[in-house]
Amino acid sequence: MWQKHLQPYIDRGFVVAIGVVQEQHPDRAKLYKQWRQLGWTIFVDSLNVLDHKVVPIPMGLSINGHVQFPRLTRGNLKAFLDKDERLVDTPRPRAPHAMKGDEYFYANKPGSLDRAIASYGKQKDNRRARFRLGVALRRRADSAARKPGDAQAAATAWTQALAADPNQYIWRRRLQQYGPLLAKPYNFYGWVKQARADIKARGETPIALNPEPRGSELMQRGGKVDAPPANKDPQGRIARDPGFVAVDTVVTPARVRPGHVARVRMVITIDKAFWNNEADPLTLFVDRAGVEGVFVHQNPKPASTRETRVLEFDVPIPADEKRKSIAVLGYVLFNLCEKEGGVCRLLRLDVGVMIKVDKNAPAIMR
Amino acid sequence: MACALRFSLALALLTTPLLAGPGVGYGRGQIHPDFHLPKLDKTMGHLSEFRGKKVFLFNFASW
Repeated sequence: MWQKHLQPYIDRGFVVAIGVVQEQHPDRAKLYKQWRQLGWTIFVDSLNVLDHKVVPIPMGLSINGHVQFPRLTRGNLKAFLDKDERLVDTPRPRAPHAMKGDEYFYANKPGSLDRAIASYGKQKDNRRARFRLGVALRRRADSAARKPGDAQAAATAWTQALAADPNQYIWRRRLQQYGPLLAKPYNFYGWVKQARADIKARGETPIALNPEPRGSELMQRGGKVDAPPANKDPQGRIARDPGFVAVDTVVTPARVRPGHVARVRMVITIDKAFWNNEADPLTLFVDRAGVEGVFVHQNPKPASTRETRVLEFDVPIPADEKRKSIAVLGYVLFNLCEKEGGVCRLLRLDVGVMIKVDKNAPAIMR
Repeated sequence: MACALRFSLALALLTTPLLAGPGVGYGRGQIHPDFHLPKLDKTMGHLSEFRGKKVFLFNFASW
């Protein structure tokens, strides 16, 4: 809506339009910009350096950088555009909550993300540092430099940040992005499918996303979920995986209130072997009533692949739960081949996750 | 997304971010703090690059 109303004034040089996007993954903002054909300069504030608690905030700034209209509307846009001010030499102080770790985070050099994580990690009582620690950990978790436990540590840091400031909706949304289905007010990245279709219809190639939105990022209340499949190997007779496959498990939020829901995400990677896509699909079996989610990873078309596979499910915590942690146990069954065209086997990997229950945990279901 | 925008805008109207220093902040008449952030092309940029121009500054998210 802003684009349509502003463009004539932008074209005549009366105003410049700038976006600041609160986004964990800059590529997604890039795709959004391509879809909406925004000619604006867009900055990415993954760390929430600007310390906004909500978006959107359309703001009108004078030629000297003064806030003339803190909340622009269609009704006051003309008044903003008509308002004159003489250019003077005004100091422009930096954003007040900038931290040392921010420089490392944005340095984009080998090891700089590790240094950002170390820097934020030292500030245990600073809620903004907790949030930024989560952002940096999640970025590393989504990169080739990921370390086991990064994604869980990100969820833990975000949970701590939100507990310290439950009215911070930018932080809440980041946690909800990876959180339980029932915590989502809507499908956060449902627009991606339509954006790609519209961009292709214009004859363009959509910007590639890395990582692709998936699992809880694309789900909404009322979306399709399944109960876990029936136990196929109750006696544990299928051979155990000798180490081809690793599972990194994330619980979001890191602490869950009784009566609320935890999201469990299992990221399954394969090493020195290939998924056998001509056999039954990878399937997760979970021994707990009431869970819902995605338990089967459908095979891609190529006969053998090595992609990372993700399964996710919600675990409701009873309102009268008295224990401080709940164990959810299960196993993954999968077919792999040790070489392309080599020996292929059905294997089992036992998995388990501990969900921390805390009546004082932040409620993210808002 | 439209639903989210309405919801978030309603919250925005009820929320004023607290910033350090008199005269610096997001309130009417205050100086908007400068920032040093990456652009979508991964180069770093400042708000102060736009000094001398009237700026429509849209804080938003794609989610």
